[in-house]
Amino acid sequence: MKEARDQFENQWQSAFAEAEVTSPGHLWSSIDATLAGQREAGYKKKILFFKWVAAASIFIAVTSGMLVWFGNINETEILAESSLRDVLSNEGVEGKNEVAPTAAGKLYPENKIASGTTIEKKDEKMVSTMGTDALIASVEEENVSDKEGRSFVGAANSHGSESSTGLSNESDVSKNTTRAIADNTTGSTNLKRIDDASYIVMLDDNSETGNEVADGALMVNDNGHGFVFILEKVDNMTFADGETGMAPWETDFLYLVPDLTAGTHKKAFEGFNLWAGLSIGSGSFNPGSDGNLDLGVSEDALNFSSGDGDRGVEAYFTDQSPIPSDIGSSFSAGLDFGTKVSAKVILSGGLHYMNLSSVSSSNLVVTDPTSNESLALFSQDISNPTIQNAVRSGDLIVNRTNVDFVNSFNYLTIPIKAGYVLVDKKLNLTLNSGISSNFLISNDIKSDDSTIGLFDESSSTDAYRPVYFNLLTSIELGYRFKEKYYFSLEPNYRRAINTITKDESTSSSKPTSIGVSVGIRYIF
Amino acid sequence: MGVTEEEIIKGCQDGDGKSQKLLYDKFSRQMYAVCLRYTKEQLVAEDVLQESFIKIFDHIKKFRAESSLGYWIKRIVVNTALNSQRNKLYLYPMVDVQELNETCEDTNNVSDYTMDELLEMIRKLPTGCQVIFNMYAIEGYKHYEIAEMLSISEGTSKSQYARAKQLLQEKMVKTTQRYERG
Repeated sequence: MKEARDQFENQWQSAFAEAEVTSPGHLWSSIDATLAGQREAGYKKKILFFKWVAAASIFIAVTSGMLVWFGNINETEILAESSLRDVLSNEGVEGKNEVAPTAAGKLYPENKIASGTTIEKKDEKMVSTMGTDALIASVEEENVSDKEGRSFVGAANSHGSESSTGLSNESDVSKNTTRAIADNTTGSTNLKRIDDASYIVMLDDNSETGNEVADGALMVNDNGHGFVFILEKVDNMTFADGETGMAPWETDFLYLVPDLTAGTHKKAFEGFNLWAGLSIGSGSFNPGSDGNLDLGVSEDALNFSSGDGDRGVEAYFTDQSPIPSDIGSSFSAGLDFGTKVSAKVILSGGLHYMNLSSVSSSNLVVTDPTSNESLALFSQDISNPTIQNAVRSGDLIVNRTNVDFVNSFNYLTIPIKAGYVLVDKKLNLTLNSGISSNFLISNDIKSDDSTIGLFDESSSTDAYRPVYFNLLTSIELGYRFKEKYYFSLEPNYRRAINTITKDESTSSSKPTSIGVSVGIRYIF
Repeated sequence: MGVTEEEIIKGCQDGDGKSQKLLYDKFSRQMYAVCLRYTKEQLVAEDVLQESFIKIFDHIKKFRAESSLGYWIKRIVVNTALNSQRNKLYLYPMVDVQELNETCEDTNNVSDYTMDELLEMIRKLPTGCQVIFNMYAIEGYKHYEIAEMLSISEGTSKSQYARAKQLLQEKMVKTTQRYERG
């Protein structure tokens, strides 16, 4: 009887071993159309990605351009406007005639210059920049001259005698330290350099008397940093305290034009030494950029081999194809601090909370027939002998139900970054790079189906390293909106240096993240 | 010069349309026969074949050549066919297996029938019997494997198969008698 049965099955098996039936011709068209649709969807995803890249590039390029353009103009304008405005509104610059509004129409409408002083514009091309141009033009209109009849380029400090502007005496510049500038030809010390004052000194024209001290202006801003507005190049200067040479700021600004090529011009915002603040950020979380988090189990779990002997439950569990996790999201928030270690280099750190989450799915679910409780299986559960034995003995019944679940990581992150300042104005642009240590707080996996639980939640947490490291890089756009406050917008990219999964884990992943963070800082 | 199977696989893994067509041409006839065995209607068989090949092209990057390509493809087709039939399966122990075995006498020779006739006999079986007969007699699965795959008891698988075998033998006897009379 047994032989007869075997013969029966062998006959049927042989009859269909080479069986072929020609499939309808339209089937391939349908398959091809479906595949084309899938390819198109893939292209759309890629196009969307490149659109975002292009938009981000344009945004960064435009922002950088605006930073450079307005940053430079702002600094020069601020220095020129504040200094000129200050000196002309100084009590010592008191005159009878009001200076007419400038070409800009807003810079010095209320300023006054001593009348009776003749102002001579020495060289048209030398005073071609912004407010000074307007100032000199305005002063010229007023026909200002000093008492000795010498001509001046601007509000002037005269040779030792009483100044037409009243600025030659230290007493006129209360609470400010003064430092005399000597004419190295005459040895006189009657020209003043005013430190730490919102003040301007215009050197007089000595060309007619043969003195080598040239026309020019020492402009000082609110922080005591200034520059000489040179109308004729000064070869040498001797200060009252014996120091000689060119004014140090002279190389930074010539004719009110910042000397950017030398890269030594003074920064608009000094004292940016130590800061602390709060930041918050979000972005993508891609566990599949290098490896993946193969958590779910696919329908390939149903792929049984045939006719190869006693393949039982073991084969059932070993013929699995894990499902990679989808791209998810990231969120972080925390405390930042940093300091400027040089004019161009910033070191910063912080303490952040970071959440990473991704979605995966599984279609392998086991049900306890007694309690009717259903549990989704993950890839790491497949090799679990407890599950295998339970399925083998019938204590658990395998079902095929598609379950989506969210895999969520909570980390404590300590970033350390070094930044190179590209633009350091009121608007800032800084390139940052660094590393972060990420300490795993917890890993939670939650099913989107409340009726289906997880076989062993702790096993998923155990699959990940307690700490992993990220490489960080970012472009920081900053705006100092008040004296002590700074707003930052920072597109960033993070890439894991080591895997977040343990070596013995069933999957391996070095995730990446692209995001943006915003923050506010207080500058000490 | 023909394209080798390795080249076809590589092309499919790269998403090359020509390679996909070559793969389809090479295996579609054989797999369509499998689909027909597991289904009762031609349209359903076509749907199963289409769904199977889309899965094949989607997952061919995972193919690691640990088994032959034909075997890997057949596994996907069988699984897809099972999934399509799953909601139609009402599997339960039918009769005592021992009793069925005793009633079976294998007096017919399968080779006396054409492939189309055999296919028609299988497709006229009740759905449960049809699936289990295919899996046991033709695919070569053991009863406990079938039981695990379909979430049924081993006894149910055996009884369903015995019933399928009995029905087929009766059909073959009737067909033989008709031929003899004719």
